[in-house]
Amino acid sequence: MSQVSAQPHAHPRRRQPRIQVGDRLLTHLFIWPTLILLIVMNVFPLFYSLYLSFTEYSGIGDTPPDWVGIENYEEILSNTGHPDKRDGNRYWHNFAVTGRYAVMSVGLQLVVGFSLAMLLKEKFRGNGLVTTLILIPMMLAPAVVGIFWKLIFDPSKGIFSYMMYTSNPRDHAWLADPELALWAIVIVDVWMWSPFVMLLCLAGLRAIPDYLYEAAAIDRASAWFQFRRITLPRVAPLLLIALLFRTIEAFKTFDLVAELTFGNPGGDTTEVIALRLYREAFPPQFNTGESSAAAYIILILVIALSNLYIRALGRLRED
Amino acid sequence: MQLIEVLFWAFMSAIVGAAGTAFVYSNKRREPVAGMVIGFVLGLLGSLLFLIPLWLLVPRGAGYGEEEHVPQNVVARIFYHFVEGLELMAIPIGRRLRPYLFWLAVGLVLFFFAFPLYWMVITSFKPRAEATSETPTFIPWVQFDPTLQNYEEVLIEVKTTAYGGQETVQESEFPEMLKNSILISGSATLAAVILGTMAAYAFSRFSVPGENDLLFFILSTRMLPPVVVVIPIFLMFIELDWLNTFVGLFVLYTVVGLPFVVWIMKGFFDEIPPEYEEAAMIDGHSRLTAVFKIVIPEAIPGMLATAVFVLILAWNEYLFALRLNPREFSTAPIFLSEVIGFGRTEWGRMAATSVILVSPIIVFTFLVRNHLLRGVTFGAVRR
Repeated sequence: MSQVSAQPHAHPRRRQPRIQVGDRLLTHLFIWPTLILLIVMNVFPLFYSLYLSFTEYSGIGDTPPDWVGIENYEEILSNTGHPDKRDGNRYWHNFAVTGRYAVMSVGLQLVVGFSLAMLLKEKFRGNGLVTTLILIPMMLAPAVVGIFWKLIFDPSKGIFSYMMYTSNPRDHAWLADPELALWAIVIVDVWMWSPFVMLLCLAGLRAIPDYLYEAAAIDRASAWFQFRRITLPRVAPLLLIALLFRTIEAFKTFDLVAELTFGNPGGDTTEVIALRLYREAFPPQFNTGESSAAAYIILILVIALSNLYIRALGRLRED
Repeated sequence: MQLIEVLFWAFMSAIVGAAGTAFVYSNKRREPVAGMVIGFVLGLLGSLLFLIPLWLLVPRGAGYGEEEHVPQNVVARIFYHFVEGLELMAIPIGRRLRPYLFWLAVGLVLFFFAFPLYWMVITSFKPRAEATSETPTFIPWVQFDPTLQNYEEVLIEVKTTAYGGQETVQESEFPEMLKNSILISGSATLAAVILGTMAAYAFSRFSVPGENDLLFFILSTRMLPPVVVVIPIFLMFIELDWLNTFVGLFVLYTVVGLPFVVWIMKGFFDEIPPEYEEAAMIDGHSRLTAVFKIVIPEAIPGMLATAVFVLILAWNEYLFALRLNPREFSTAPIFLSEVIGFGRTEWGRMAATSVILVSPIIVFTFLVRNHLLRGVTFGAVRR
């Protein structure tokens, strides 16, 4: 107040509106560049592909998009196709592979990540270094990770078969085995992303005050009881975040599968939906219309999951 | 003896049996899964044969405090003292073993997470014959002589000698791609951090109409599957003639980074008390100078960490780069698919390329290790 009274010219009532106008102008100046970029590069393309999803169109053809209504959607959702035959468009097969992949890899990541967090919450020398080392995989490019795990899984030169099997390792080519290829991808995904779950769980575990455990120990609560009633509830919101985020990412998985198997072996046993979409959308197929429709189906799934995810984040923020 | 202990030991024996038998079976070239099942059942039954009488005869809670009473039955007493002796031995051993077991677990975890990276690094230093040999070698200098040949081939040129003794030299495109990567991801990071920080400041300090909806919209663009976005973007870039240009990927990576920057920087700004600028403005600064003189210096560490995250995002991006810039202004990850494309797979060169791509990321991860949590949760969790 003393500063204001030191300046007799600055009338408080006059200053107030000037600042407000300035702030409002600044708000617009600050926000619109970001919003315009996002609208031009994300929203506009999405509306364009929404239009294309109702057309028969090929990105390289000379013919303009031909409106066909919901035909593309009908075709994708109705044709189940036989899993052993290559006829039909078999999108349901791709959804099934993606679902299986999501359940397997996210489930394992949650278990491994939580166990890692339980291990690393202990205080010991070099804790920070070990934690950071474990966190490195999740920062790497999925494309690069795919390449060097491909080397590791290589049946004759790779280290994986050499360590796993004492008999002739050539017989155990995981990436070429229709049954094991998906598991191989899951292993890589777990290697890459369980540190992410660990990071979240560690934050939850470290925030639990010690006195809760001390009180439980006085009451002679068993270790299982302490885990169930103290540890788990405190980590659950973070686990939920991890679960949702990893599920969303699993539905988006492309780079890893593209590098490791590109949908093979056995034709398409590991062809996740993103990969199918990619194959459909670009040469030689170039079914822009149909792939846009498939893209929209994925988009709706992902948006539904993202909604839950962002809500969970918001709840965490409020705490 | 409690039921839980019986189950525990029975289960442990079953696991040991399963693992052992599976190992023996696979050595004998018989179906290891069958061995696993047989070993599991045998281990379970064998241990229960011993554990069930123990459980029936030894009173519950023996060795667990004051409530125990020594049984009258002679056989039970023998068992009782046997178990008591075991426990008396086991408790101190267990206590002494615990740190070792802990370090063993930490070691195993480190092995699983660090070994693939170690393997990649040593493969990149192996001569070709060694990199493709069927008996793996692990220790440089002891088991093989490390060479820089792979790095030379990746970074400078590949010399191949044809059957006639003719030597052809193929210059590597990788340095060019690395340059593009640095240029594109660096400038996109700069743009994203500047624009995103501005928006984040506005969201943090001013009352923006529909603030939550806008923030939600911004974050939801981050969730879009790249494979969905790439189709219309591809068509759009054809129209704009942006394929194989610097501008195309630059704008795209800026947009990819923006939601991230807005959310994380909003978190950082929320932590700086608004009274700082208000005090400065009372001292006669305008809002803008107050921001530059007071708020930005406070937020610099956060901005740097955010920049590193965006840089990593752009540096690692593969799908857009593969589709939009396959020929000109290709980024470094594209080189991997080129190495793999040339007929025979050159594992040494591949590993060298991977090491070059991965090492800056490892350095960056160490730099931002204290902000990782904030980064992966878009600023929602702050530790």
